[in-house]
Amino acid sequence: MNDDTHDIEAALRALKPKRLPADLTNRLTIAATAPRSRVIPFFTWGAPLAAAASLAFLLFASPADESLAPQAVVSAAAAAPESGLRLVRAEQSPAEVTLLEPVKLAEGSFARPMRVRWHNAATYRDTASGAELVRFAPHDEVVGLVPFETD
Amino acid sequence: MPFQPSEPADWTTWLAENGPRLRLVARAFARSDADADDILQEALVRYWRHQRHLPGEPNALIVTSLRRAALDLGRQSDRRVRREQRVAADADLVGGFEPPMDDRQAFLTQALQDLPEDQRQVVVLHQWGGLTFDEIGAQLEISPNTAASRWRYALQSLKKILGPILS
Repeated sequence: MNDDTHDIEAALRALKPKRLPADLTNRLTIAATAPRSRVIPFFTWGAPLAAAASLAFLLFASPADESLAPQAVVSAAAAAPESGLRLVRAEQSPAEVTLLEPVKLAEGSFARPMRVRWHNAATYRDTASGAELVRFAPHDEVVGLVPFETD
Repeated sequence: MPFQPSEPADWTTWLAENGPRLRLVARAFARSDADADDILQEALVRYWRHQRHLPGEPNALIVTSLRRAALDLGRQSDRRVRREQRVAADADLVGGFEPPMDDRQAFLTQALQDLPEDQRQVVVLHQWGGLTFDEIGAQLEISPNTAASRWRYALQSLKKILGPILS
């Protein structure tokens, strides 16, 4: 600052803060770097689940009631491969949600892609012969990004 | 490239470089070693988890977090009672430094401890916190000129006490 106190300033600079004790270092390290529980915002997976629920509703609504027009169900679930086939059963597996390895986004933050896997199985029966045809449709999609660090 | 969640090497290096001086700053705001460590943890975790990707120099940001954490701690009455009970036992700045290498350093750390609190805070924030007088003024809600004056008064007080030893 000035000549009168430069020796004091030099002496202050020579004082070294004490190194952190090991237990404090460990405590800070755990608190700062340990993986935290992941809170997945609803909006990242709400949409695909809503779509899946809608699809399931359409699939399950019709087979029990033969009087319902089958075309609507068939068009929503899966088109009947051949005419003369009637949709008799539709199943959907539970969705398997997996968080993939984090990726760095353009703005510098990190996020985990979310992978959703499930399958639909539609069973058709030929009205004349009684033969059944099962149409199996696996789905494997990356449907959103989950922020890696969340509060 | 996959992100390494804990980044142990980077964290370890960063903590080794900055932890000791920031702990000293925390002590300048706290009334006990235990409180200082709590404050340090809150500020460092906030920085490392949420703020380290922000652009710019993070030092003032971390010191702000330290001060806010100290103020929050002070508002918690139950902890204040415990803090006050601990003050007599372990609150001092001297313990925040490496053991003195000679009598001069021993006198200096003790003289630093004996400074009025407002001057001691400015010295710590400027010398080890790395803050400018403008930044210190913002932290302590005083003008930069006042911060600079406290720095000068502190140095003069130290000079008065330590002059004969230093010369």
